[in-house]
Amino acid sequence: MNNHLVEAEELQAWLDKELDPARHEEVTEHVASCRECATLAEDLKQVSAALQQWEVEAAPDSLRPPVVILEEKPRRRWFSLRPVLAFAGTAAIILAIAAISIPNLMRSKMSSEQAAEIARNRQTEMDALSRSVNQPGAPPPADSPRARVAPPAMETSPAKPKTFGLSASQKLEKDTTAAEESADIAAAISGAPAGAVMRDSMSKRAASDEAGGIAGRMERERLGSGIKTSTRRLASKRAMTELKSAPQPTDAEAGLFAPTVDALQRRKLNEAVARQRSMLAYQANLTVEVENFTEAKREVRKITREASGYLEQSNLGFRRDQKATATYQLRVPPEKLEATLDQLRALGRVTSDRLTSEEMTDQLLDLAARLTNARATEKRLLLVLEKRTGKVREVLEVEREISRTRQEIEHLDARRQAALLRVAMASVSVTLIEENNEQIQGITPGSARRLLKALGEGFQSFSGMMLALALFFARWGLHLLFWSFVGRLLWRWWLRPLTRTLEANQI
Amino acid sequence: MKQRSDEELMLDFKRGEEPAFRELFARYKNPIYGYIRRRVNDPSRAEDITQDVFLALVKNRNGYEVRSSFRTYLYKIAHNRVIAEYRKRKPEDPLPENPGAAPGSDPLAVEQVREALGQIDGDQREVVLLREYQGLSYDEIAAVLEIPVGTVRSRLFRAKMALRELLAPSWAEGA
Repeated sequence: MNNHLVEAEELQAWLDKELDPARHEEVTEHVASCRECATLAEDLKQVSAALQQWEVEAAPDSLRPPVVILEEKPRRRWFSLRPVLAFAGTAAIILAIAAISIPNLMRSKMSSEQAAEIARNRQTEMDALSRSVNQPGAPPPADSPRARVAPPAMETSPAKPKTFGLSASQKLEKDTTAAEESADIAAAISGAPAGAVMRDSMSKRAASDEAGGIAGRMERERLGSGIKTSTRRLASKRAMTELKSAPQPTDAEAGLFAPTVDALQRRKLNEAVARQRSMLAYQANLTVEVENFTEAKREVRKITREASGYLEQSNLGFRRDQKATATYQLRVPPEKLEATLDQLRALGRVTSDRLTSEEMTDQLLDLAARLTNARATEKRLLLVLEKRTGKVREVLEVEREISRTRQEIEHLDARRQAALLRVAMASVSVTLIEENNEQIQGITPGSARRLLKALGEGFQSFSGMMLALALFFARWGLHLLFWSFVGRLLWRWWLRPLTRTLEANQI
Repeated sequence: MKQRSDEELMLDFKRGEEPAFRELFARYKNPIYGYIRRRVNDPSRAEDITQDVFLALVKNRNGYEVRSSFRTYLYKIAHNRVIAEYRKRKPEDPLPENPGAAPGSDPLAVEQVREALGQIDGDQREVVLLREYQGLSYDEIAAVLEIPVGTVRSRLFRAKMALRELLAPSWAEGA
């Protein structure tokens, strides 16, 4: 446009007084001395003047300020209360959960550690005892209930009981008592004559005392508490060892059962005890849904007979859903238990199957020993009564004691018989349930029944959904709470002002 | 009594002082109406749009930052509102056919000015309207249109030069 130092654009800015003061002075001096710039500036002024001719009317009176309803703004605190409360609530919930769960976790951890430690110590002690009892070089007893129950593998010699601090005569008396008890137990369990057992045991009495004492301690550890003296326990084990080599007792020699017990049961019991293979009582519970209910009932009886068992109890009835049920209590030999259960399972669809075994050795030995002790006590009391050297009052006391001892003997005997029966014959409880009549008989369920069934399924489905929702919120509730809190903060501090600015720009 | 500045009034209004808003309305009612009236045919429509501008001011009063000029803030709202109104109109008719001349003005002169303004570039026209009729400074125009100050200066100069060429014959006739 021109070659002056002043740009033409600057003239407009000079006219509008938009230049900085120093530059404004320079341009003013230049325009005063430059005709061309002065002319141009004049033209620009004229344009502005022409533009000013276009005036618009004033705003009409109807243009009033909009009605402003200002909500009372709450006093702003230097902190916002609601987020603080939300955060505090979340923190309180987390702390409460931690306060409840962490101690329980620690306790269970401690319990498991303590239990493991106790188990390790117990096993170490038992291994040490068994190694000391066994012959040098012999392997320690196997770690199985049966192996622990089995008598130690050593020369059968009833050991001398521990007799710390006793005189020689007292020791002799104690030894004699122990031997007698040993013989009684052996006779009681095996049915062999007590005298024969006693002679054999006495001939072998010259075994290591130390081993016997340790064996007694070992047995106490193995078989748990309940035994009054180590002597009785040891004598019981010795008797069991004797039985291994003892001949099969006959029914006549069997002193195990009361005369009222069936001969078949006695034989079975003696075989089981004599073999000493297992002192476990088995209990099985089975529930089977069968198609042909009548046939299944017949099969159960047949299976029982084939297993050389017997039916103890039966019960027929109907459930609430009108399905017929039959419950049988069976007794079968333990060696035939598994095969019997397999046959029963094959009758239909198994809905419940449970098999448990209970270790009975401890209980049996305890009962046998207590019984022997009671009988020995009775014998001594009878001897005392025969002599009749005391006063009448003393005699009466003895008779009362004899009566009480007899009652105890009978009670113990009954308990032992029941325990032996449980060992000799496994108990099976089988429940047969008739399957849906309608399916079997080909009857189509009516509409009402179908509707009821659909309603029931619908309710179950709805309950399942609600449970799933509850589980979901239980699992993720705290997460959602936390992130909603974070999102609210972001909205307030960042997004809302940005949104307002965008809205203002759009309007 | 010292008159409060526009910024002070706006801050008072933010705090809930309703008379401050009425004062601001009184100050800017005519300038905003004139700004919009030069772009809208119908006076009642211009009145509505002016009302919308002040309503937006009320609604977004919390978005006003004290560091920005109130006049800039208000004209920015008005400019955005006008842009929205333009979107509804035909692009070839950027100025109202009814120019809204004040009583006593020369209709012919107004028509000549309107016609000349209609022939220049739209960006340049916008700068001219804000500068010549609303009296905004270069910085304020730059803030409203969101362009650099140098661009404002150059657009304004070019617009003036173009208008000089368009209006020169009418001056010659007048002369």
